[in-house]
Amino acid sequence: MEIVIDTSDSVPVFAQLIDQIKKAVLSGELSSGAALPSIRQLANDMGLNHNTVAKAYRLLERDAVIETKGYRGTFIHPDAKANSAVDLNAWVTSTLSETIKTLRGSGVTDSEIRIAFGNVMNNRDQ
Amino acid sequence: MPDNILFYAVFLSQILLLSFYFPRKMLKRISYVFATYPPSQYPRLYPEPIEYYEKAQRNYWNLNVAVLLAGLSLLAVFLGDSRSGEWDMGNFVFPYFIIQFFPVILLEIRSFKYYRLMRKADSRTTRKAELQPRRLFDFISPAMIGLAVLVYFAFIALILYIRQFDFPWFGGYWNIVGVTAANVFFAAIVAWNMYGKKQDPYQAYEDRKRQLELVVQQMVFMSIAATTFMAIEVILASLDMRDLQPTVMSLYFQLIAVNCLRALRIDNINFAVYKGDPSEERTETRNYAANALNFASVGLWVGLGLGLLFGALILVEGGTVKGFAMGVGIGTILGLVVGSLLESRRSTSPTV
Repeated sequence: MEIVIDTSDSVPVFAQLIDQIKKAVLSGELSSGAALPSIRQLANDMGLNHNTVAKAYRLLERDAVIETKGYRGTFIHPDAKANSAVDLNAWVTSTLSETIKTLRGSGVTDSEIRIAFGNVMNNRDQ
Repeated sequence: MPDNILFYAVFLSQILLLSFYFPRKMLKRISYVFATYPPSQYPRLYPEPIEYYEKAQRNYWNLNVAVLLAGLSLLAVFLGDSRSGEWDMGNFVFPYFIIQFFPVILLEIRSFKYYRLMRKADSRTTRKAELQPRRLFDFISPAMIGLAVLVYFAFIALILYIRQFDFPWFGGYWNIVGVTAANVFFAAIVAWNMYGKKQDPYQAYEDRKRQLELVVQQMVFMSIAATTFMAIEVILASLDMRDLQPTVMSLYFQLIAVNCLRALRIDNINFAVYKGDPSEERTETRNYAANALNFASVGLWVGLGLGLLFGALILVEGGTVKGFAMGVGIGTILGLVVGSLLESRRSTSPTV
């Protein structure tokens, strides 16, 4: 399977990588248990920074789309198809919309929401 | 004397094979590419004007002719000097092989620069790669790797066996260290090719796969050949057949040269990837006046001259013809090294 990245696209490179791997899983091009190239190999083949590919792999692993089996390499997760169908962006947007709607309903102003949101984002321990 | 006749025949073969046959074959290949895939239609293949490559071609041929003449002169000295039967020919074969291989090393340095310029000129914003892992056994059979490992351990066993005889010439464990270092070097080349940065940004996936297969097979063959050669040298010395060592050494060098100079079939390479858009065509100009002086060629001739002078001094001071030949050899190597260093430094300079 060929992967194509456009560095001039407004979408970050790591996001393009994630998107294409998820699409390939959903279309069946990449089936469960299929081996993926190492971070170093993929980064060198595409002329990308190793950290960019590592970030994409880390996020795909978090979403249980891929799994790393030590020195044996990286493989497509057994539940990858179901997990690739989850639209994380849509879920985050809907959760935040619900919360903002509730806050506005309670009389909290948009400025107060923004300040509170900023404070929460800056304080990761909360 | 029969041993010497065998050596002279093998050495002549080394001279002709490495300094005439292969350079000619390589130049024919390059000329074929120039004629079949011209810069007007394949601009991506030429990050610099074609005249630059034509000049490099001429320099490569001139260097090889100089090395060929030096080799034939050396052979003439062997045949003409009645004392040549007493000389250790191994002292000539190895330095001469290094000199013969020098044009190839220069060509390799040039190819690194060529690919660097190609990557720099690549203005595409899209990057493509196959989402498929590369593994060693995709390119070579496990049996060949097993054979290389077997030969290596057989060599260790041989060294451990010979060690008990306390030969004065025997290097002991250093033989194992040397062969291990050579094998680590071959493995590093394989790893660099398999997982390192893609040198040619336009190269088609299938071509890269074929190229990797060739490199892996070459390196495994080199590993087996180097270990076997060292074992044969040790066995010949143990059996007091040292006279055969230079002949075996020369044959070994010819074998590794044949292996190193194996190349992909041109008609299998996908040249369409080098076509590109007309807008991509290179517009930069190059100052050719600066190229008029090639330091590598000058280095060779200056080195030969100094070597001849050095050798003549040795003769005047009562030295032997062997000393003279060694002087010429050392002078040429030094001249080539200094010349090529200056050349590579100059050719990477942005002012040229």
